[in-house]
Amino acid sequence: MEIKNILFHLMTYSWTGNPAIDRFIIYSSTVLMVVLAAILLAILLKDPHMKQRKRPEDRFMFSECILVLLLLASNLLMNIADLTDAGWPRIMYFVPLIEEILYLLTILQWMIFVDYSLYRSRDHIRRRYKHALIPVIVVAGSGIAQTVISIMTGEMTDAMIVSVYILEFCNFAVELGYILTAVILVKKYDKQNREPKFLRLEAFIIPFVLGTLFRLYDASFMALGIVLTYGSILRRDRYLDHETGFYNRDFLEYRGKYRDEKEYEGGNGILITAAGHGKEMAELLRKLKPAGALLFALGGDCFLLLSESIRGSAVKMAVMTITEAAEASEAAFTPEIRTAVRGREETAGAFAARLMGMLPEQA
Amino acid sequence: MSVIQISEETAYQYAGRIPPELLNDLEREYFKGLAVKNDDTEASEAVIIWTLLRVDDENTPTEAEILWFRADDEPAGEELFAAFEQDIKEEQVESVSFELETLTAVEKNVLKKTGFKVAEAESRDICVTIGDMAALSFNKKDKKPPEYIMSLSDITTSQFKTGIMTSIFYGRYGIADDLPFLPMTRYDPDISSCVITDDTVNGFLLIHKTLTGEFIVELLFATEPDANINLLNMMRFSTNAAAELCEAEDKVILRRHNTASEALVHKLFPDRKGDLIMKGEKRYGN
Repeated sequence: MEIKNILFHLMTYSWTGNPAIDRFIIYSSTVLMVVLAAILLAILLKDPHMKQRKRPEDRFMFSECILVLLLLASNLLMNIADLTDAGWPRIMYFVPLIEEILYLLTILQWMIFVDYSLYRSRDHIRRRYKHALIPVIVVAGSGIAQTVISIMTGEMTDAMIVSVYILEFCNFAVELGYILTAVILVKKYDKQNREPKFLRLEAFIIPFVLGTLFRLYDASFMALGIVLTYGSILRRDRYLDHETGFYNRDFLEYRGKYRDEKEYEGGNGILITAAGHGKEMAELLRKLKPAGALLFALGGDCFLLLSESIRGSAVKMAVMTITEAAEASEAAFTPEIRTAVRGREETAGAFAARLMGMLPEQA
Repeated sequence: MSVIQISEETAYQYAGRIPPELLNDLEREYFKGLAVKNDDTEASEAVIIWTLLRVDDENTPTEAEILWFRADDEPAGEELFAAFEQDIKEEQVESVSFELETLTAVEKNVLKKTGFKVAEAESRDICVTIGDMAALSFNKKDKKPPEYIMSLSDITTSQFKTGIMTSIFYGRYGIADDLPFLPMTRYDPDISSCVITDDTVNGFLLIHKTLTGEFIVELLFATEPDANINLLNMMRFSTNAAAELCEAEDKVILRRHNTASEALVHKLFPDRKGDLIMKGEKRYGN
């Protein structure tokens, strides 16, 4: 009975009435928030990508960190007020609403980040999410109205209590809607794509669920979710060539193992060597790359365009288009291009190794 | 009688026997033609135009489709088919099919003797008008397509080529197996449309206007994300453009060349049927 009571209070933002347990909850949630705030600050200050914020994923993560730091700060403020038994000035009545809005914005931003990490398209994000803030604005507006009314009247009528619960329910429905949207996006993507993904939805969703169940730790779990999501950016960064932003040799090997595990067949490779013109070739390939194909920078001005099985005429067209573009560019050069098709009995790993073996010696 | 290859250079000699659109098509990759000439009169007694399909696809057998066949008499027709079968043997063609508007009794006999199954059937092509397209429910006149749906005249050749590469890298060739080799100028620049995302083309609705003034939809394709929305937007854009620039009675040919196009055409025009044509096929090899 005691444990059930404690759990109930943890889930409903209310104190258990047991001084020892309540003190433990306040102190443990404060310590957790401080530790996670320190980790987030370290990410913001130490990660060079976060400092430069050139890539969209870095900008997403930066704003997520800021939102969650604000959330942690307001929660810490509430905890300090409780610990010191300081009286609540009227402005503090807005803190739960601000936290709710920050919570919503963080989950919305995370959902958009999930979408971006699947398709890597800025235009798509701009188009699909141009009205995404509307639910947040509606919730914020209703919350502000509610809070102002309760401050002005100085009392909580039954109707106001019901409206508080309705608003809580709507908040939760919107949060859940964002989470489910992200899950559906990933499921849809997985049906059509066979490339490895670095994003793990559970890294955010599990902390979200725990934060929903244990409300007095919700800010901490949200911060944990963001830190774990940051891990997916770090995991992908390991496989990127930092000069061009293309995938590197390690990813070629990793992808080969992944495709063998999944028993995916087929594959075409177009190896491009642009000796002395690596920078120009990278720029051209960035513009010419067909959607769905992968680009690798293999070092020594060598690049690889990798795709699922394509027909001979597609390979021919790609070779012709790349050569023409290079010859017509300002640098006017002719790249050396070789092509390879994965054999029926050849594993993806062996195909990747064969492609690496085709590179010129200086690469 | 002698069998002659019809090339781009000699095609004009057959202007009376072969439709102008097909004569033009002889310039295209994978399109071939043969004629049987009377040695004395120099008149052509039989002609055949065909195209090879999936020549470069290692995963599927090569096929051929006869696009035009005329024979004045059976000996000329049989000689023509002997040469034709020799040619397709060299290309390792495993099956030949055709869908022809009409066949004379002589032509039917030649085909049957050569081993083709010949029967009357519904054409895969549905013929509608621009007015019909404009009247469809998806085409709400007050709804403007988004600014990232553009006509071909608004994009560069480089963007066009990249878009075509995207399409063929996805295995989407539309009704033209030689899509990678077709120039941008083949398609109507104002009615054909494309989707631009992040400065690159990731969707096309390519419409070719034939020499006889008919419009034929040759490619309808879009990549994720939002592929279905973009397909609809392109259809809306192109239909509106066609309604403004052309006559309502102008014909549009929608070819049901695969299950997706069949489903789409059925959704747009559930009650329309193709004309009755002569259809046939023959298998070679194993």
